[in-house]
Amino acid sequence: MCKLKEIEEYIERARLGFVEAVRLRKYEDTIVLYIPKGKVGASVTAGNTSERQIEVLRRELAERFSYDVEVILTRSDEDAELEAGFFRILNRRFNNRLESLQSSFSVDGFVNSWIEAPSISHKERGDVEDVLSDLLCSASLKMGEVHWLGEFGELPSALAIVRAIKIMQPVAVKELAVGLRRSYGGVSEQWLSRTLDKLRKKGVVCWQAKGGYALPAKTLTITPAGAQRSSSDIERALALGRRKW
Amino acid sequence: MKTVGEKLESWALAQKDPREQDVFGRSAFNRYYYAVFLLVREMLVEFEPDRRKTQHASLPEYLKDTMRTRLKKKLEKSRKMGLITHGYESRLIEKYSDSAANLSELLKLANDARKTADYEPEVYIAKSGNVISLGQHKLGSAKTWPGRASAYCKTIRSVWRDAGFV
Repeated sequence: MCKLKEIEEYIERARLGFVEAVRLRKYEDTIVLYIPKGKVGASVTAGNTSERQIEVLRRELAERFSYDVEVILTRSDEDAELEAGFFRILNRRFNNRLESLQSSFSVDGFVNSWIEAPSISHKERGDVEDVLSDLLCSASLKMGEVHWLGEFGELPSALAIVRAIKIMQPVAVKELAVGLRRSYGGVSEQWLSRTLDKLRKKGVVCWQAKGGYALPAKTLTITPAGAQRSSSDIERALALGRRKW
Repeated sequence: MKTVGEKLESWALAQKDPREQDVFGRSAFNRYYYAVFLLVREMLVEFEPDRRKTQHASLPEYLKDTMRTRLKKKLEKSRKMGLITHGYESRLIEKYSDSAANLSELLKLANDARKTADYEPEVYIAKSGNVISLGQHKLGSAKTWPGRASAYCKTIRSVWRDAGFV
């Protein structure tokens, strides 16, 4: 108990008011500092700290008291309640079609959101974001990023295509389209053909008269070494398009 | 795991005897932590099927630093090869960083609660009305951990898909 008092006094003397609580995890010889996330910003201001200052404090405490120091960032009840409120209001507006909403509140007033709403189409997302933006505004907050969950997106990224080619190569457009469509509903052969053509012109994929598309050595440097045939969508695609050797 | 946590929580609330409250309450915190831990481990195994042990302590840093560095390296190379634009590269990194940082903080917070629950019996469960707490942690907040972890994990997975890792 003496040690904990000493540490608390040290923190008080150093005017580190942003530290919410201090605890000693005796069995591990660790000091645990609880700092509200809302007080951590890019730089040190009145009442607020920065990641760098926290790191300095950590090292100082560790040296002075010969304990490990762990910093836990806490979330305020107020933030949790605001998030719950936004969720309820959005669900009233959109007929309970949001399955979940997570929000992270940064010290500069920006709020990032994670929304799970599979029944809301891409077109309607703009409407949801508009309402959320208004809500945040009313709470004197600003809308940051909005991450829509659980979606594969309609079309694969160039990197996702490259990975699929690596697994299936050499692969014809038709077979590749089938494989990609298991995860990306918007893939048509025409779209894929055009996309592959662009990639071929950039030299990141190559085309063999016998077999179709494949990856040149330089592209293989960015594909993960373990790209396996164990990916279930690929397995199904392979099963569908059995090669006739 | 989450359902077990909820059941334990309701039992803790129903107990009159503080010792029983303590036992059920601590177990609830433990289950909520493991719900999060298992979600994250499941996600990591998709990324690295050969991954052997997952250490509780190193998981937050692994997500926030190690994985982020790997993502940045691959995206930078891909951009230089003309596969993706600068804008796309920054958006993916931003999306990953945001989710990984939040998930990492959540893991640390939840792990702290679990350690107190499991290894520090001298810290008692406190009950004030319907609010059960252990040290700095409230059981009502702990209930939200698995849902939050799930959201961050889904976002991280989608970044890995778009980056061609899985």
